[in-house]
Amino acid sequence: MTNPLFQKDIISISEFTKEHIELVLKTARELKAHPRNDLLKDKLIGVTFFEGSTRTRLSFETAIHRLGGQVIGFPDAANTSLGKKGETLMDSIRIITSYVDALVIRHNREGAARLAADIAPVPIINAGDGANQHPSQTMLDLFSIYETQGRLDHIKIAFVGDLKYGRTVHSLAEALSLYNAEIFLVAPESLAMPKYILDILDERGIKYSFCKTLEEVIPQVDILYMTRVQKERFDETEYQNLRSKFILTSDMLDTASENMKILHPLPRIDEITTDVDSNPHAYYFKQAANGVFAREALLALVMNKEI
Amino acid sequence: MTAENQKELSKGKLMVEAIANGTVIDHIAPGQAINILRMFKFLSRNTELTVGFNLRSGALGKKDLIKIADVTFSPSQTEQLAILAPNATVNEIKDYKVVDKYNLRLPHETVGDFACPNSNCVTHIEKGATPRFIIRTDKDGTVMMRCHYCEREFSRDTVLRYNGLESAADK
Repeated sequence: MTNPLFQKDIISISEFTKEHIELVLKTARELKAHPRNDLLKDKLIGVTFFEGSTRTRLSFETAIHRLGGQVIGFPDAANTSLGKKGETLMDSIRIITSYVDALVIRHNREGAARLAADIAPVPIINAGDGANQHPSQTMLDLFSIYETQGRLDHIKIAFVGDLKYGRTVHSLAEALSLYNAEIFLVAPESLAMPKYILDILDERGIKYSFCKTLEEVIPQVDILYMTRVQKERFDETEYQNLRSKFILTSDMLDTASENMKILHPLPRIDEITTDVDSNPHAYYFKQAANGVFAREALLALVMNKEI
Repeated sequence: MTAENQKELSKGKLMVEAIANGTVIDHIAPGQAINILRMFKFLSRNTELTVGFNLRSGALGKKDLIKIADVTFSPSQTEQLAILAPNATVNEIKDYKVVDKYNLRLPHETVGDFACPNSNCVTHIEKGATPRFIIRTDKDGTVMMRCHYCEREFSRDTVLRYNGLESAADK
């Protein structure tokens, strides 16, 4: 039977059903346990990062190589015709997609991946479009939750830090709303979760609460999802004040349940102190490593009718 | 005086010159007639135009109304009209008679009519990307418009204001 993601564009987590999510996670688990180097054999995948992102790009390229595929692309737009000669994004996409079997695209403009998908003759995989979507990040987050908790249903998760601009928390909250999650929101008022995400949670009957401190949520959750509070959004005094409230240190984890895990989309700056890295609750580096398997799963499913 | 005007006058209602040919848009939500005039650039056309603001209406309490001579609306223009005036009635007039009458319905989507209010949306840098919105009514009855590209959802009033039109809320 043809898998439902075969030759499909992967643009937005909002288009994923539970069936799709479970298929991707199952495939990621299988590829983690039993690596396959034939699933992209004779396939050429474009990895075009119009906006730089080292970890995401290397993760995709690793996934392609491990599956036996070939890569062409660029790490940023600066030295491309688009960056240097003013070529339109649409023209760039038309040309590049005439060379490749699928295209991974990252762009700083929201909607760039959808635009590419509308005109491309091959599947498009969104590797992040501005503040909008980053579906492979959501898949690796879900995969990490499943790997650590053995389930996705009824997860208690706290989102901490910048919940306003952080697209990873928006997409993950939306995805977990399919699984009756209980959500704790810990953020400064100026970086609160946007109303449209809360509306989705309300529509799906998801329980969520606003919390003031990390200490109050740590004993209650299965997953502590940390994000970076970006310094440039605040003046220095305000930033120092906020920073002190949203920094996780190892001694705060004494009240955590045994299986509680800390996730972070990375890069981590100073919101998780380095003494947490060796704490058994820390999972963020393994989470980043899981990114390769989640991306392998997406690429394998998009490029193979059956696996 | 035409028969149509006579009838209106006899009911103690609005008395305006009837149009021989054209369109009467009735039951426009108050405040939206000005948007319709702007969107279709009726004010810059050299055509006979009658506009009523905040007229008494049984159904709406108040309504706007537009009579425009020698203009009929194409199906795509009717969709645009429906975003501004989702419950309005359109009467096509020929030789002083109503030859077609229909109620507007909010369309499922609109293509190329409004720019996206998200300044970082790809539609602002790519001329070939025609702005497109998927339209729905939320549980509070607010008309919401979601950009096909950047996936941001805005209230219809936000989109109208961004596009230089006035929202009903401004009234």
